[in-house]
Amino acid sequence: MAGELRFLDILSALARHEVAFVVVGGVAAILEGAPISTFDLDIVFHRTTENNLRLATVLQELNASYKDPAGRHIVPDSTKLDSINVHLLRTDLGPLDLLSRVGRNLTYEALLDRSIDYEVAGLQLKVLNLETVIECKEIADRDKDRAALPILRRTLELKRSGDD
Amino acid sequence: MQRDEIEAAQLEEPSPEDSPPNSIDHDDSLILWMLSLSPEKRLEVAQGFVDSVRILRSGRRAPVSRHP
Repeated sequence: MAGELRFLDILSALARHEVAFVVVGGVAAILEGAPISTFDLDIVFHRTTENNLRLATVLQELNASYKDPAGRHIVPDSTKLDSINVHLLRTDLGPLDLLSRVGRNLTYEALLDRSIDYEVAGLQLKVLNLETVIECKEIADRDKDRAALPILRRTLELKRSGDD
Repeated sequence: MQRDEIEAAQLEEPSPEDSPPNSIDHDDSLILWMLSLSPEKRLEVAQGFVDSVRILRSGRRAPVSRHP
């Protein structure tokens, strides 16, 4: 059963188990200052054997299962994390999307140079920078991505003008 | 000024109350407010919105927070 979305609690669970990941998508845009709304948490995880095991432990703790249109109860595990690129999950703390890459096939390692370290409620988070969030949304090009782009681009402009 | 000219001037210069809101200015004030917050507060804002929507969907009255 899917729970109420708790961004910080999911992030805390990932950090507690020392999962290597980058926050991407809407939550990354929000942490970068864009006033948008989102109803899930998207992360790109570092796909290594050790990290997959740590992530699988968190997913078990959160009672995660795949959003299966057929209604089957399929749980993620380290083997699936190693072989599947996109994991759309329900958890006790809300929807969680796990990606092995994003945008132009950018993996965790590639995203590190495009990420900013934020401290949020005592958690050290790697967060995709707004430039790359915009780039990813331009590539994804879904209706919801196109709808968000004007405010994301304007946020980037105002951030840059504020940095001058 | 003749009546026709006065009417024409009124048509050309709507009062501020009659002006449609400027969506660009509105977005800018919202963005600037968000940028003024710490990342932790930004996440709290997003969480607050999620919570409000959940409360509204469940049929209860949601607390409304407004930015200055």
